[in-house]
Amino acid sequence: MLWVDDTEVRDRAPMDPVIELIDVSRRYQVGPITITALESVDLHVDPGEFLVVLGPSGSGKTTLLNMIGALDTPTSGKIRVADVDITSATPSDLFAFRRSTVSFIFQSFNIFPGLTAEENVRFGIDVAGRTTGPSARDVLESVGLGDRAEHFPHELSGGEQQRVAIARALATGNPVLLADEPTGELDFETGVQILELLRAQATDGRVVLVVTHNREISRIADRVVELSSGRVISDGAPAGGRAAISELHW
Amino acid sequence: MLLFRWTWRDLRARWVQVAVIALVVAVGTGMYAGMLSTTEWAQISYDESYAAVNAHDVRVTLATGSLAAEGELTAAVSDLLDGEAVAEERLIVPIRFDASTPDQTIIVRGAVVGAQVDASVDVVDVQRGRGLGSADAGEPVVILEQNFGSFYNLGASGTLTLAGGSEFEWVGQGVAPEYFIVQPPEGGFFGQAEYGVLFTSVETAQQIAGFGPVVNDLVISSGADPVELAAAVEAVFDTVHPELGATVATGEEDPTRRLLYDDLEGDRQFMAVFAGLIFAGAVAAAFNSTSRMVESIRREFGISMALGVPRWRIAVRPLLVGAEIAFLGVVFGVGLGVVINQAMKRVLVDFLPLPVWQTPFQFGRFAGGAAIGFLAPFLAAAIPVWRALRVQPVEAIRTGHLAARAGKSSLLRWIPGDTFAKIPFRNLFRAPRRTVLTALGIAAAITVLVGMVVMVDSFVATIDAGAAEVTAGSPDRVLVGLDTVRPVDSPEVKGVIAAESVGAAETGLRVPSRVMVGGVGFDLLLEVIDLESDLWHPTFVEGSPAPGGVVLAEKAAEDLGVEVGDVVTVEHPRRQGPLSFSLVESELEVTGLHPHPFRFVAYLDDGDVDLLGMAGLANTLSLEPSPGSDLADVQRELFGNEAVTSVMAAGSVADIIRDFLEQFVGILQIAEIGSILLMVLIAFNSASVAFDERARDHATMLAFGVRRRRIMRMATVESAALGVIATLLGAVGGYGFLRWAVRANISETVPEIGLNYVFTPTLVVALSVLGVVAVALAPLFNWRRLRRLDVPSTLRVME
Repeated sequence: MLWVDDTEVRDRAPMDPVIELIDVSRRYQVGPITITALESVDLHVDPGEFLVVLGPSGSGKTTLLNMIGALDTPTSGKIRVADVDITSATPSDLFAFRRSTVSFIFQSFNIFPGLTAEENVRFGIDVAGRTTGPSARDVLESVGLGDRAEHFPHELSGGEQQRVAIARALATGNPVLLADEPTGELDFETGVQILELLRAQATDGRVVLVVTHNREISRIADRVVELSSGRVISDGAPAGGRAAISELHW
Repeated sequence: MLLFRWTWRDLRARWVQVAVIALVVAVGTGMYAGMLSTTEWAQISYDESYAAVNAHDVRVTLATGSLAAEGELTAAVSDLLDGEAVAEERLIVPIRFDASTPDQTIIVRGAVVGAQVDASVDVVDVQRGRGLGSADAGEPVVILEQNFGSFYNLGASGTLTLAGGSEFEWVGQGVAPEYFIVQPPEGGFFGQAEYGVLFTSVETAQQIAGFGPVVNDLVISSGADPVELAAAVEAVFDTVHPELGATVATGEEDPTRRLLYDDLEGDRQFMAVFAGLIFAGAVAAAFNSTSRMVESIRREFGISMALGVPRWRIAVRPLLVGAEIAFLGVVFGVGLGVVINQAMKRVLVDFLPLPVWQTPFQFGRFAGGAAIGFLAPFLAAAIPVWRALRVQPVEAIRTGHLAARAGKSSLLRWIPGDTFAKIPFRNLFRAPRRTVLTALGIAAAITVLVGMVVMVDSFVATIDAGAAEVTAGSPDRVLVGLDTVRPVDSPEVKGVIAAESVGAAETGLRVPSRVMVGGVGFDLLLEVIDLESDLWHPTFVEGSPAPGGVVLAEKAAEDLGVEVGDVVTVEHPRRQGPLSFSLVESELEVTGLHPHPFRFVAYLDDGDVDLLGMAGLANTLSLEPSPGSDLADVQRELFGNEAVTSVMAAGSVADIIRDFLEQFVGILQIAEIGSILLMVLIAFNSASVAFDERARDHATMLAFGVRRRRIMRMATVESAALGVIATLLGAVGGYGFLRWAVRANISETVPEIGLNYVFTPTLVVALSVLGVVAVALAPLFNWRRLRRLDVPSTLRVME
């Protein structure tokens, strides 16, 4: 069982959304052309939800992820994550927000090549300034990499590196995990293992938001939000009900 | 054309890095060519200067006090000279004169050089004011030796007073070959502060000497072989005029000429190493930076390969980028080289006012430097291209988990602290080759810096040590030189002691001698003094002031391989009669060692004066000015004493050499500025390229909420660690270089000096500031880029 320790998550009323987007739009100005990446998006994500944001390339799903992760700001609308209004927060508050609330898992892992697996996980602890709770080794063991702790990233397989990235995100103790195409660089077998791991985090009370273009992955979600041209075109449980991970194939 | 446009865009996209690499190449090429040019210029200028003043091929100098009737010397050699040869007689008279100005007391000894006003051999090259004409013959008109005039900032004309009261007008300042570097008769160089030379007509010199139409010097210019001619002239004087005690020497044997040309070879080696180091550092840095720059577009090679673009075509673009950077560097380098040339030229001309200074642009040097300066970035571009093109496209495309390597990071597992403390050091070891190349580039610049600064500091410290030794306990001590050995109770010596401005005074003897042990031997200046005098006595670092032995400098003992208690052979004069001396050898025990850095300084206790047969005689006095008086008062009061030839502060040698060093420092400063510039540029570019390479790491950190200040702090720590490595390497390299320079160069050029190596606290602080802090701060220039880093885009590089 993975560790969750976030007072904000525990103290919040059961049905308070962890993530709340109200009429969020994002437009980019490229010379004389205005590109709309997101248009009037409303979204509410409850604690413990495993949410998949589905959409083809250019649909705005990564923009949505970046907004929730405070890497980008909306042109209009309001975003609240874990009771923090990140649309009105100062840059300094946004840094603090990312340290204490959201953790990213990237398609290309982005773990630090000069640090061992355990040290990469330790980075998550250090960045959150956490002094209590499980050690980096414990978190690494929880993702099945206890015996690879001393290995450097280039000595690990892609799947193992993504596990390290997940462990790093978990080590922060943050209540929201944001995963951008987490299986994009992995083979099917490994991808399934990673999804299993992410799914387990939602079971533990975290919000797990996975962005993908792979419709198959959406089958194991609690909820699927589908985007097209920056708009939410559907929002609900997976068609045909939630599948078991063992049923996935692509 | 598309390719050119594309590569031009590549350059523009990284224009700061490109400009810095080009500047690094430029500094390296410019410094290399500029510094090596100086010795070429010196060679050409020395040759042309000696030719311009028609320096003598053979010179005949009569023994001190010997004089010949005018025309006698010329007549003696007339049969040896062919039609084109010229022989000219001169009269050289030792003098003392007062050229004081309202601002400064200038009472010095020196010489009047009397020659024909239209002399054609050893011509005085007048650089300020006017030369002498026929109307000046026999008149109280002189030309001031320019090194002396410049030292005291004297004008083109003025008046001076010779000892005895005669007033003379100087109408110009000029240089003559024997005084291109002023060497007083008893030795030493750059003696312009204490030794002034006046050029005048032979008639005027004869009036000053007061012996009628006599001469004591002959200079010959001839197309014949100087060595053969000198031998023939020597034979003539030995047989025809043995009473004159003539010394015959070729122009090549002239001490100034030898010093200049001998020094040239040393300078050449010295500059070659300095220039080579700077150049090597620049080449390594340019290579490293270009290679890293091209490496960063490796992914594009893979994409092109995947698209089926022929390999040669893929290679052309980065190679063209490398060539364009190299070209820019070489163009900048030539420009910078010209600027450095101009700066060097100005320093050289001020430093050594030769009649001719030729400073032509050294195309060969520049071409050599430019060729290597061009090849380095080009090869740097070629190597990563070759490495990328020999692998499968998929491998070349990879920029993520498979491409990122830990390198030698595992060696630094032990580093304590949190991950933020580990990352900077691990990053250094992730790409050890790059780190080493960068560190070596910076270290090369620091080596040059350390070598130069330590050399100057060491010289100054050595000279100061000498000054401290001769003024220990008696800071105002004044040394008075007498024209010859005189009884201590003679009116002249008594006159000095009784002078109002003179307080305590002691007589002494100073005689040239030679020390020998086995096959090793060198000259000494043996001083006979009271080794336990209250006025002043040498410091004993070993031994004690026991009579019956000689006190040597530590450096002398080291060179001779002797210790206190060992016996050395000293060849010294012994008085045989009132005016006759003979050289004898005495076996003397080394009773003590003193710390004076000049090995020729040696002492004998005055209780042993009988060894010289000179009891009751003196040719020097050591004294202190009376209360309320100073050196200038003593100089003024003793100016009228005919027996006194010099009145100098005991520590004045230090001031003179320090002044010389200050001029020399001008040349070093140019190299120092170049080194610092190079170091900063390398550090900046390394930080800049590293910033590109770490963009994903930085973006990841930002995504996790790490503040920019913290990221910058890590980059600074990484850079500082690089600076520490480079500074340590540079300091060791600089020290090693200095030792080499001393052993291979200075010890041959000036073996008399025992150089004290000095790493002053100032230097350590300066090095730390430059080598560590400057390098550490280089990443700060990337603050703006960090602020503008597009985190989402950087994180989403797909493979």
